[in-house]
Order: sequence, then structure tokens, then C-alpha cells
Amino acid sequence: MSENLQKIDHSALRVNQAMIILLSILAFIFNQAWLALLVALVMGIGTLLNIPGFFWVYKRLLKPIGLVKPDVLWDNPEPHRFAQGLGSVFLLAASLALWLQASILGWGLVWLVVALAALNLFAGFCAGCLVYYWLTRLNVPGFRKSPPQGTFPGMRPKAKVYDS
Amino acid sequence: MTLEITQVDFLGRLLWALAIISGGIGLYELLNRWILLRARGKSLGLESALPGVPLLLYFTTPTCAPCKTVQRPAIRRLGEQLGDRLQVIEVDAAARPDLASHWGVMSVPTTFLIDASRRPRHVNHGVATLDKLLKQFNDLEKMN
Repeated sequence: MSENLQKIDHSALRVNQAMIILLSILAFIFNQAWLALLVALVMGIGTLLNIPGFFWVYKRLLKPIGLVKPDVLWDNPEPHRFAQGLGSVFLLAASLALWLQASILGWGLVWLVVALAALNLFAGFCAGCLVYYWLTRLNVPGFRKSPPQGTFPGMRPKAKVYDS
Repeated sequence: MTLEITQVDFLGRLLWALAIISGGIGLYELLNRWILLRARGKSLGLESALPGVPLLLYFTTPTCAPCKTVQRPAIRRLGEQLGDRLQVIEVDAAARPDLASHWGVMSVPTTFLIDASRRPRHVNHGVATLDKLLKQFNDLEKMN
């Protein structure tokens, strides 16, 4: 196991993705651009704090009542942080487009974020993480981490953290 | 008037959302078919399987909560109902990531229903209920 890997609770990431999907779809159905902006801001703040934006939903609500159990894996936190930041930028661009009355572009970007979050939630594939690992391979400054051993770039690692 | 337009707008958006989600589900089904197609002819991990008996290949990990609480009990009940008409092979995807990659496993639990001629017929990503597994097993029997 690489020394650089850290314990990452993937349940917190999945709750974050589910919240992004739910709120973004509600924003679309009820035509509430402010809700998409709110999701963008929560994701952006989460990126700055290095936690999933909707971490509090998991930590304060779903985990205490036992609805979601921790799923701690050895993983790199940086690609997930980058992916969330990328999603936040997409949603900020969507909000700007909606504010400028470019509805198709704006909602199209919202649905793109929904699709990528759903891909991560249901199939375990993080497209933003894949972009991060590509940038590492291209030696872009600031991108240093490689995927965990035996894991396809962007796929959820399978190595669990065991209590010792 | 404004209320009517709002209602039409809401319904239109709701229908669009449903259409997009349905499209996503359709793509997911296509992905499943591709995984089954890719799994054809694979035998790695099936060395201990008895020939001529359908099998359920079950990928899990030790700390997968839904595997313990839902999937394993469902598979145990399935085994009790079907007896030696179905064999179950359980794979720890954490201990055997090579095998998980080989079979195209993206998450746990994942279950493959493989017919007596070793052809994968169904794949379930996530928890598969007892009813679903039974239905899939019955499909296997009909196909043979």
C-alpha cells in the first residue's frame, strides 16, 4: 500500500453526490437557478475546506441514524477535491448562463454535473478524478498523485481500511 | 394565466427530467449488456465451479455494509430455496482486485448469474433482492 494514500470515507462522497443530483434536478424541475447556484457554492466551499460540500448531511444526519454506514478506503483525497471543484465551476458557469438567459447552456451544464455525479454514485467512476490523473501524467504543476495500485484512473479503489 | 403558464412550464420540465433520467437508465442497461458481452468466455475465478450447474458469482468486500445486511442474506435464502440447482462463488474484491477487474466489477455488491454452459446472463450492480435473483435464475432455466 502506498504511503501517500489516505483513509477516505467514500460514503461521505456518495452522500455528497446524491445531494448534488437531487438538488440540481429539483432546481431544473422548479426552474430555480438560485438552487443550482447554492449547490455550486456549497461544493466550492467544500473544495476550499477539503471536505465534501454536503458532508454535514452525512455526518450530522445520515450517519448518526445509521442510514449510511462508513465505507473507508485507501485513496487519494486530491482527485476528489479537484473533481468537486470542477463540478462547482461547471455549476457556477451554469448559474451565470442562466442569469444571462442562456437557458439551454445553463441547464445543459447542470445536467452534465448531474450525469457525472450519477456516474460516480452508481458506477463508481469519478470523471473529475480521471482528469486529475491525466494532468498528473502530463506533468502539470500541482498535480502529483497517481491512482492507487491496481485501480483504473477514476475508478473507486477496492482496498478497504481495516481496523487494527 | 401566469399560474397556468407556470404549471405547463413545471410539467414540461418534469417530463424533460423524466426523459433524461430514462435516457440515463437506458445507457446503464446498455453498459450492463456490454459488461455481459465482455464477460463471455471468461473462466477466471470459476475453477472450483461444478460443470453443468448454473452459478452465481458474488463480488463483495469485508466492510461492505449492504453486502452483510441485505445481499448475503438474500443469497443464503436463494441457496436454501434452490439447493444444488445453483452454486455460489463468493469473491472478496478487496483481496482479489485482479479478479474484480477481470469481470468488469465497478462496485460491490455485484452479482453475475451464469448459466450451465458458463455464459453470463445477468449482472447486478448494487444490491439484488431475493425476488430479482430468483427471477433471473428462472430466466436461466428457461434459456437452457
